[in-house]
Parts: sequence; C-alpha cells; structure tokens
Amino acid sequence: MTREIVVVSGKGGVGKTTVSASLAYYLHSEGYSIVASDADVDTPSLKLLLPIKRDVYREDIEISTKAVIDESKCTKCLKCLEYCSYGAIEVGLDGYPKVIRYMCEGCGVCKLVCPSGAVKLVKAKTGELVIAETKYGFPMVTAQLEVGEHNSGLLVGAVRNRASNLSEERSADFILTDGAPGIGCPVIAALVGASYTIIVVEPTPQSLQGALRVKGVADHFKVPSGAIINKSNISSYVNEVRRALRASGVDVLGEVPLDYEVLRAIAFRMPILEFNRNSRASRSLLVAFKNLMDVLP
Amino acid sequence: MKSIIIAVTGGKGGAGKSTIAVNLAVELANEMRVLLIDADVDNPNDSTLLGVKTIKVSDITSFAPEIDQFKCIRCGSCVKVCPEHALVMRSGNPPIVFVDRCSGCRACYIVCEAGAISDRGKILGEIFEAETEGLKLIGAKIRIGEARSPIVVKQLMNYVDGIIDGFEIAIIDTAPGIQNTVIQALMKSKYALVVTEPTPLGLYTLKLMTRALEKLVLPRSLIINRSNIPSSIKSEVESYAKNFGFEEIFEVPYDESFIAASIEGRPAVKAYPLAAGSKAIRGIAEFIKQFFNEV
Repeated sequence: MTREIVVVSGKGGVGKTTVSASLAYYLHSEGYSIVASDADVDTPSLKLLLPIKRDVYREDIEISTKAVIDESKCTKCLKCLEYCSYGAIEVGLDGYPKVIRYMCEGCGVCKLVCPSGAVKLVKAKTGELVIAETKYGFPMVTAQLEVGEHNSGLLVGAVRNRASNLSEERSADFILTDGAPGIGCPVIAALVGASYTIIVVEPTPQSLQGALRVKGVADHFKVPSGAIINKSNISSYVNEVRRALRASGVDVLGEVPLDYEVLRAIAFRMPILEFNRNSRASRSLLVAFKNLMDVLP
Repeated sequence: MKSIIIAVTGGKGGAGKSTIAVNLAVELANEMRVLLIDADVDNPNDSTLLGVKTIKVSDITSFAPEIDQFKCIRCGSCVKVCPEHALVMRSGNPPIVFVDRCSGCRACYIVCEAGAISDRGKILGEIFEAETEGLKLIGAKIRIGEARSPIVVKQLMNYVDGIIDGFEIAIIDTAPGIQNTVIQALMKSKYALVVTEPTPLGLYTLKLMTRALEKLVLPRSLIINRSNIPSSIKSEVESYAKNFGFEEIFEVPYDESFIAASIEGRPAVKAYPLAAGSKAIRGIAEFIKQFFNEV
C-alpha cells in the first residue's frame, strides 16, 4: 500500500522544501519506489531542489468557474451585487455591474437571482499541471496556480489525483508531498487523508506558533504528525519549542543544526543529502528520517 | 487627509516580510500616524514580533444554512443548487448540512420556496487589534480547520476601509505567494516593497511576484534580506530586479540581533538600534517618507 507523507510548517521559509527534497532523495536511495509532488501550487519550488530531466506531461487545469455578465441583457437592477457573498461584483462607471474576476467563487448565486438571464457561468483556468521526470527516475507532479486565484485547494486536489494515479501504475511505496505554508485551503487539501505529516519548525516564537496551528489542522483531519526542528542551534528558544511540542503531543523526529552547506546545496540546486552526505545537516536529517521510518503508520 | 497603503510582500515564505513590515512601521511611527495591517491570516505574526497582546474586535462570519424540519417540503432544490455539495438528502428526509463544506454563498436560501432555510452563521476567524510603539496594529486570523482565507482577508480589508482615514500611512504585511489574499492586499496598495532572499528559491518566487505586480501595474522596490549570507546569488537577483522595473534595491544584511529581537518580542529597530539590519530599515523608512511626500 502506498503511504503519503506531507511536509508542512505553518510559517513559511523554515525549511519545508529542503526537508522534502532530501526525504525524497533518501527514500529513493533506500530502494523505495516513490512519487514526489508539490502541493505549494502558489510558489512551487520542489523542482528547484530535485533536478528535472524533462517534463513529460502538461495540462491546463480548468476547474474554476467564473460569472460573466452580458450587458446587452442586463437591466442594471444590481440584484447580483446585492446577493454576492464574496464582494466579487461592483458597479462600473457606466452603471453596469462588473465581475471582479479574482474575487469570484463561481457559486452561481448571481445567475440564480438575475431576473433577465444576463449572467453566464464559464469555466476558467485554475492553473497548469506538470508531470516531470526527475534525474533520479521517479516522477514529480507540480502545478502553478494562476495569479490571484483562490481555488488552490482544487488544484492541489488535481496534483494529488495525478500523483495517486502514478503511484498506482508504478505500485509506489510512497508519495512524498511538499506542502504550502499557512493552514488554509491548499494545506487542508494536501493533508486530508494523508498517512503522516512532518511539521518543520525553527526555534522562534513565530515558527512555533505556525507549527502549533498546523498541528491543530492535522489533528482536526486526524493525520498523525511528527516534527523536525530546523536550524535548531540558532537560539535557546529551542527549549521552549521542545517543551511546547511535547505538551501538544508532537514527537520530535530530529533536530537539524544551522549549516551553511544547506545554502550551498540550494545554490547548486540539489538535496543537501545528495550534495554532502557528511554535512552536519545531512547527518541530522538521516537520524530524523530513520526515526520517521520507525513511527510511520 | 490622504492615507496611503504600502505593501510588504514577496512571494516566498520566511523571506522576512513580517520582520521588515513591523520594523518599518515602528520606525515610521516616530513621525507619522501609522497603521500596521497583518494580512497573513493563516499565520499572523506581527503581534509576536511586537511583543504585544491583541484583543478581538469582531468575529469574521459567513452564512451557513439551518433547515427547519417542519417547513421543509423535501423538494431537493437546495441540494441541487449547492455548488459545494454541502447539502445531502436521503429519501423522504430533510437535507443534512455539512457545515465544513459550506462556502456561505446563500444559493440554498435563495432557492428554498418553503422558507425553511435560515442563517445559523459560521465563524471563519476573527479581527484583532493592538496599540504599541506609537502605532496601531490590526489583523485577522483564520480559525483552525477553516479553508477560506480569501473571505477572511476581504472582511479584514473592509474593516480597514472604515478606519484608515485616521492614519497617514498603512503598512500591509501580506501572506506569502501570489494567490488571492496577496492580490487583495496589493490591489489596495499604492506601492510594493518586495522582500526576497538571495537564493535560487528567492529568485524564482521573485519572478512569480513580478508577474503579478506587472499585471497590477504597481510601482515597486526590492529588499534583499540576509543579503550577505554564504552562497548568495545577490548579483543575479539584482540584475533581474533592474531589468524588471524595480525602482530601488535595498539590502538588509543577516543580523543575529534580529533573531534575538524576534524571540524577545521587541522590534529590532528599538531593541538593537545600532545593528546593521536596523540601519538598513531606517534607510527604507526614509525612502517611504519621501514617497509619501511626493504622492
């Protein structure tokens, strides 16, 4: 059975992609068959750290719906504006209602209340999905959300579907997913139904707060979680982080000290584990990954 | 009275948006009436960087249906119209509402001919505020397990519209990325300060952000945070910014006192005014004051 591991953090920039890329590399080098996926469809960056050999598939994903108003039929009654729950309609200088495309959820209420049949719902591009072959041979599914879109959860769903199809075809052991920052739509879409989530945290109050918030989301959707404390030696606040994680029932899989080799690996666009397996960061990551294998359901 | 909004944004998470927004706001508050808006509603951090306790101003709510079993005629129109499939009906029974799925669009309420649907409401999050360091902080946070950050930001921005006249300048600290909540914040802004880090990850997200700013036709400057880290690709980032319409390029060097300040909950410009990072922030504040005077 394929197990799905999702890497999240709540706060951005604490090391999700660094951990994800190295974990993908680790699982691959341990002989497992894997599919990598990037659920940060807003700013997908896993492809920057897992070298791509070639793109094998591209598709425009059109799962958003947007309202369009036909002004030749519109009577300017503005019922659409009155009923729109999302503030997606405003009155233009000419008195006609205008749809603010990026705010429109496509719920269709405007169409429902329009007495003159002037509103149409049309499919719109949510983003672009790409399946790539990594230089290691395993596939990676990524997507790029359109600027200003808000249906990132739907696009994450499309990424997960593809990843799941690929993993079935290949009887993969793991799907490894790099998650988005935050705790909202794309994170929930990535977490629901996953086997395990790794919460990356660094020793600052801001990161701890994000970690605990995303732990709340994981609990809400009953996904078991463990933490990796990244840049663990940058401050003594690490003691508070350990204490708070323990109090919330999060196992610490490992602690990774600040190591400039990680920055060099990023500059060379490689997982740190491949770039320098003897670096302090790599050795700590290996410990964390071995612990992960022990606790994975 | 003019009041202008400056966005501190940047695409990549953890590049230093909140640190720079907070310190910039504190620095500007020496001379101006400043509103700091924390619009990263998934993970609002500004209050912890300021070391201030916030108080709740109001709940952020949306519509959610309540079905009156006695009035319901089991026609199924609400189930058919619901775009989120949040209503399910088994034969002969009134529909069951899955509130977690409901997007609050009211379609069910509108189509119900029996008048059986009323609004029980659903809390999506809350708006909070605080006053400290001579400025006012306003922000919102989404409830855990709730997905609709765009609606939370929309209601936050509506609230801001009501109070902004009392301030000369507002600094809005956006979420990472270029998705809806970020664009909402940018649409309200007169100028964008884009924070990035000099790494391939930083440059990549800078390019995505630039695409968004070009669409919005928003004037912008770049802040390269931790500009002096090892393996920096600063010159590559700089030449990109010069080619893509960034007016100024500021550098904020990596500075351990900024980490100390974030843990102590004191803005670095106040706690460590002599630190290299604080000096850099003062330079950016001067630029913003000049921009304000020219607008």
